[in-house]
Amino acid sequence: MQVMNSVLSFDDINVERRPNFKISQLWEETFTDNQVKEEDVLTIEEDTFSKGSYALINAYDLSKNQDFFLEQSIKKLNESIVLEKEYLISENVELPTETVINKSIRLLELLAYKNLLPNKISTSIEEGVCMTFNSIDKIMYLELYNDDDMGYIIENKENKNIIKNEDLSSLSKCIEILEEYYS
Amino acid sequence: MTFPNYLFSKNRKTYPENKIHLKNYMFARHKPGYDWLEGDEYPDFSKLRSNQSFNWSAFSIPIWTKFNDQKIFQIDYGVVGYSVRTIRHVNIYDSDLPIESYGLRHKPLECNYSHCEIYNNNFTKVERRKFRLLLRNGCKVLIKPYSEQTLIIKMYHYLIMFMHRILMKTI
Repeated sequence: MQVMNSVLSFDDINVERRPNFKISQLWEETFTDNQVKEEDVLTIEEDTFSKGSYALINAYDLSKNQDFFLEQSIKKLNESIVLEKEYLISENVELPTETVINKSIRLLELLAYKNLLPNKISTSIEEGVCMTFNSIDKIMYLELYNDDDMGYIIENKENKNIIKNEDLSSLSKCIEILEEYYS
Repeated sequence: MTFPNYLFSKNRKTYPENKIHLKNYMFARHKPGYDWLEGDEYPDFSKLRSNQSFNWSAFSIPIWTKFNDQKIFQIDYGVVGYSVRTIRHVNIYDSDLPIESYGLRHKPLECNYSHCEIYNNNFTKVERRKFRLLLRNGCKVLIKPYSEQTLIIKMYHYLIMFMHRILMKTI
């Protein structure tokens, strides 16, 4: 794994979504899941980027394919927030917060590295972000909430039985559950 | 479609919870594209609330549910029916959920006398996710997004509304 030091130019920025990361350390092993919480995240320079910021924190060496699908997923996340904003406001539902969006991007990066990206990304009516993962016979809904909680539920596609339904304590636990889900 | 005068509350009484019969239905509208994705049989899980608002079948027909709080008719929305029995007794479908899972109360609004809402006793997120999924799996699609209703269907729904009101009065 290597630390990426290059900063992307302003033209590369997705202006709809600019995670605002503050960075104090660049070494991947010192970052924990807690470091996506607002009080722990770090600013780089105020008028620069979005896309590169998570890479500075993270330092996963993604392949071109993984990077492409990660970008598509972040784009989907951005689009759902922008497109669903008016609807959520009309339903008196809080929009996903900066923290949960950053956390979602962080999760997507971890998932890209494992080739486990979601089939669908949208906002959640329970206030946060919802990711859907399809397999042959099951479907999993993973939600990241504005109050910093996370959880998932898995149902059998055919008989609609609920297979599993738990809260999650960390992003690494998310990855573990997803690897188990697809195995 | 013009807004039905019958939906105005006009200081009519609020019915207690026990008057909502188990065989009544609760109607909810869902927006296509966000709540209800093209090709999906049911509304999307991510847009089903555990504290959903409804129109009560004893005082509303499904198509009236398409009117929002501003009396605007949401022509492209779909309407789904949720049985009161399913809402109140989801523990039948999953024994992990408490027996008196969710409450339903009649809470008329100025422009929607049939308005009801779910409330729960501070259930956990785990329980709420389960409830939302069970609700979705137990629902009945009454009006698909973008579809129109024939006069015969509307007349049938009026009949159902009166029958559900009779049921309510038997309690």
